Amino acid sequence: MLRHYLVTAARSLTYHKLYSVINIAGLSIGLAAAILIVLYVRDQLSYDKWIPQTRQLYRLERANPVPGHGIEHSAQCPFPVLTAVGNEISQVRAVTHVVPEQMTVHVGDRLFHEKLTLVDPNFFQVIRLPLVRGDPASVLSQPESIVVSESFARKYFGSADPIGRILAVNPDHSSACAPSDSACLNATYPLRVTGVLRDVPHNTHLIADLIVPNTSRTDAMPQSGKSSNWLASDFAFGYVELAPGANPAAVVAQIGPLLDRLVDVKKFGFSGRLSQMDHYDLTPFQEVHLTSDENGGMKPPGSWTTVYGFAAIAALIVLIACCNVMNLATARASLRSREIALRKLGGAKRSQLVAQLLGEAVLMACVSLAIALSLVEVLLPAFARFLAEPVSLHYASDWRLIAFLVAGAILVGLLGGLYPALVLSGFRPAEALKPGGIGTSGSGMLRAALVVAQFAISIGLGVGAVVVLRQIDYARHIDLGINREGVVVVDGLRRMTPTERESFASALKTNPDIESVAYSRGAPFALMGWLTRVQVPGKPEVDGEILNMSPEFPALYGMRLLAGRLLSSDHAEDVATTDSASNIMINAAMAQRLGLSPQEAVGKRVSGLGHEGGSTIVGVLSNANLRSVRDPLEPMVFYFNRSGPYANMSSLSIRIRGDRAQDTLAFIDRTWRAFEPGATIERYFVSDLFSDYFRQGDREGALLGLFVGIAIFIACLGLFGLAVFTAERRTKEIGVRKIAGARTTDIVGLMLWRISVPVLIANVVAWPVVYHYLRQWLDGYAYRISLSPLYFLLGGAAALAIAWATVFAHTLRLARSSPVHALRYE
Amino acid sequence: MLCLKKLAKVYRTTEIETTALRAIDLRIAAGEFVAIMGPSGCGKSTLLNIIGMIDRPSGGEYWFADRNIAGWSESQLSDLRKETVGFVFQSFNLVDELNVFENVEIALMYHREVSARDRKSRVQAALERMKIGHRARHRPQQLSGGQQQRTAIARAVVSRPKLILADEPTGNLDSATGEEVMQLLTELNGEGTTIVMVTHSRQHAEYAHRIINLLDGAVVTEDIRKIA
Repeated sequence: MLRHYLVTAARSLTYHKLYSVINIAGLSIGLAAAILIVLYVRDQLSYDKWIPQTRQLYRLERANPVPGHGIEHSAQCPFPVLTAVGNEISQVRAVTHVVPEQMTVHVGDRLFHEKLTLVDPNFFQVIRLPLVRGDPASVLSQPESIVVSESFARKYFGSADPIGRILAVNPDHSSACAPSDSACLNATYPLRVTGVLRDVPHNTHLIADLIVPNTSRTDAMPQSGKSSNWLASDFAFGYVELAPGANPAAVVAQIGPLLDRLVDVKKFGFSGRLSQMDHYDLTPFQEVHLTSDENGGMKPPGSWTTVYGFAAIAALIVLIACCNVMNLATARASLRSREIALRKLGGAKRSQLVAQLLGEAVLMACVSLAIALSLVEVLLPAFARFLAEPVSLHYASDWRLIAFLVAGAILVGLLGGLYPALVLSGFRPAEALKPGGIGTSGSGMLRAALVVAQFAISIGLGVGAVVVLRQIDYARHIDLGINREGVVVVDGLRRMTPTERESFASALKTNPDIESVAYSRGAPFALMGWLTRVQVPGKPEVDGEILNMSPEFPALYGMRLLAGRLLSSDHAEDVATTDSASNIMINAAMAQRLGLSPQEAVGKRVSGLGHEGGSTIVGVLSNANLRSVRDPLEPMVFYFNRSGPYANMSSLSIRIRGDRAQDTLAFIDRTWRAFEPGATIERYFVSDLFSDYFRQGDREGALLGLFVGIAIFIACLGLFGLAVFTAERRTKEIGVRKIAGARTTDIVGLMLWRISVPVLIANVVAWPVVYHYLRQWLDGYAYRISLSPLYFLLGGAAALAIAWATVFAHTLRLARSSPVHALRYE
Repeated sequence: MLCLKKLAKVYRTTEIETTALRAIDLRIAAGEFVAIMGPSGCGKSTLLNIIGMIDRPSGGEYWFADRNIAGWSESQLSDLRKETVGFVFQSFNLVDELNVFENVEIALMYHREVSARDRKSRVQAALERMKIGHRARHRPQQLSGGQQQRTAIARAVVSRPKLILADEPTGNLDSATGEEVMQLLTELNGEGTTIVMVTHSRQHAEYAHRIINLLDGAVVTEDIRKIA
């Protein structure tokens, strides 16, 4: 019996070629897209799950209200806070600090710029990354030790045994040294390799290739910071292991009172209690990548939105393909009614017929799955390259996933086949065998509803994709008020004394291809500004950002002077030597907030910047967003502090002429080596940094476009099939109309109108839903496109055009055919 | 009204050539009622389709109202057809998705000179005349065979054609209903409409003025019953 069903199913597939091709092509492509998405989602969900014993592990994270920004969530936490949590809260079994640092590693005379991870000596006992060599309990117990990963060991030492070898490390110690102590700033420390770490795969949020205990002298964080810097995170991450059975909420509840007991915020110039300013939370270790990493993790974050979004798209694509199966099967029902009737006459029970018809649908789904898997096999490398994530599929080790996919395919078959099976098996044989067979007008409504659903989904996805891509493009090309092209930034200037820094700048300026240089505390899109609260007497206080920069900075980035004058090294009042500034510049946004025109602002005295008697505004600059397109424009204060203890002039911006950029870059590198032989240069183009902000968005946008295209394609396949079958059923009508004098254009017009109705209804269904979600999504952007009705109208028009294009050729052929054939059809 | 000279029709597929009509010479005058008879496959329907301009001859001439239309384009034929010809079929060829009124309306839908109001009233009049006005909102499946054929005849006459072509109009009807349909056709003929009818029924063919017998694609005899 089973064999008979299989044969019938296979026959049915091969006999109705168009039907099978449409169904199998649609399902295969749909399943392939869905599998790729599943692999991506699985990869995102796999982050950190491979690390043993992480169930009780959490990351301690801070959230604090920032004036004008609401609550600012951070992935990090101040160093002493974690220490206190580890010491004082009994349900905490252990804590470990993790601070990634960029350093220059010397191996013989080779220099490498590397990310090292400074950790508490208990690191491997808390985060149990697998060691190939060394004992987790003792491998970091010596201060000047280092654990290297297998591939880094090979890179440094080749095949030689790395244990006991020495790596000399040159850290950025600027915050621990006096600004003018050149020897301290450039010190190199030897570290002995005590262990080898198995290479960590890509799916972890940790940077863990070179691990050094923070008891080492290489640790850049000064001891004072570790014990008393309660208010700043300084890129320190804190991991907490709770005792078995401990409740994280109960632990979190103890942190506020604990900090209030330990810290007197009045010493830092604040009123109230620390628990009123800073809130702490514990994020489960395995969820960090998708939840809190976006608040400043070690590596690029994942996002639940993206994971859910793509999973939803995968589901919708499969749904559209299912609709095709259902739709075409019911449309075709009249063609099969005779077979079904004959089987009934032969004694088949309805349940047997349902089983047979479902079997066919499932067989088709399984054939499609096999094709889909082959497609995935072909596409996966390109997909992985594109995602820059090594997503993969291994049949043997991923048997669970394969089982899931097979189960999914069977479900798809059942889903697509159930309704047609019930309809078909319910035909009464007498009717089915009558000349003319059975009309399927009963399922016409369902088919119309399915087409509406498919098109509503397609229109929704299409409009969504267009708006998302437009927003990405808009954000990229927005005028942020600075000229970011042709500027190279050299970072790590804090290892130079102020005098060295200025000689370095002078040496660079001797090159005629270098137009200008300016240094600043951080560079655009990587600012290290801080917030301040300023006030003009008689006006309300205004929160803004303050940036230390050399006077050339505004001109170098093309910021215009709106009123007053620029700061200048020639005016003694313009150059601060402590953290308080005498003369300052502000931007137009700050002037506006202060309730002043740029002209009025010049000469006003401002309090709040620590300078006794207030600071004077000497100039007002045009607005420039130096942060990112994600953040709104801030009111800003600019001052010039050449050498104060917190000057932190870390970045040198160099505007170069475009034509000989390679030579100029080589010149910059040579000059750096002459000044800093012990450290590698860190340089980048500002425009590249800017683009980095969009890389992930671009990637997701392109994927979105691709998958949406696939969804629409599958919907069109179904529409085409449906048009063919409906047209076949309508041949008589077309014949009658032609005899009545209808021209080809009349017939084509009529058929296109019939296709248009469900598409138009689909628009009405799709628009409000899409509008709602896009509105929400766009609200996350500081600079956003307006959600013009044009997107929806164009989306609808495109859907209509695509629908027409899909069925046009077939309709035309049919409309041109002689009515004789049409009327003989019966 | 129309005149066929050496009219031929050959169906070709890649493998075989079938001759459906060979050298037909036929003249039908305005106001005539002509019946075409012959065994299955003799070419009756093909001849009727060519006369009705929904099929094209492979050779010969087709003069319609003093114009040889054998080489006309599809759209020229379409225009001529809608002005002059009405069709009645054995299997009615009603559109299941449309109701009786809409089915009849199709015949006027493509006459752009007829206003929507005119169209509605003409359709209503045609339905009344065929005594199915009361079923105007019903679907074809809800009608008896006779009612369906009356709908089809209403559709054929509503455009006031000079020529009605009927392909076995009584073939699917019981004898009483068949007689009724023949009465209707005779009535239309009495009003001046030319009628060409294909039939298997000797009895129904007797209603015609002239019976043409076809065999293997050729006219074998003409049997003139009455002079109009």
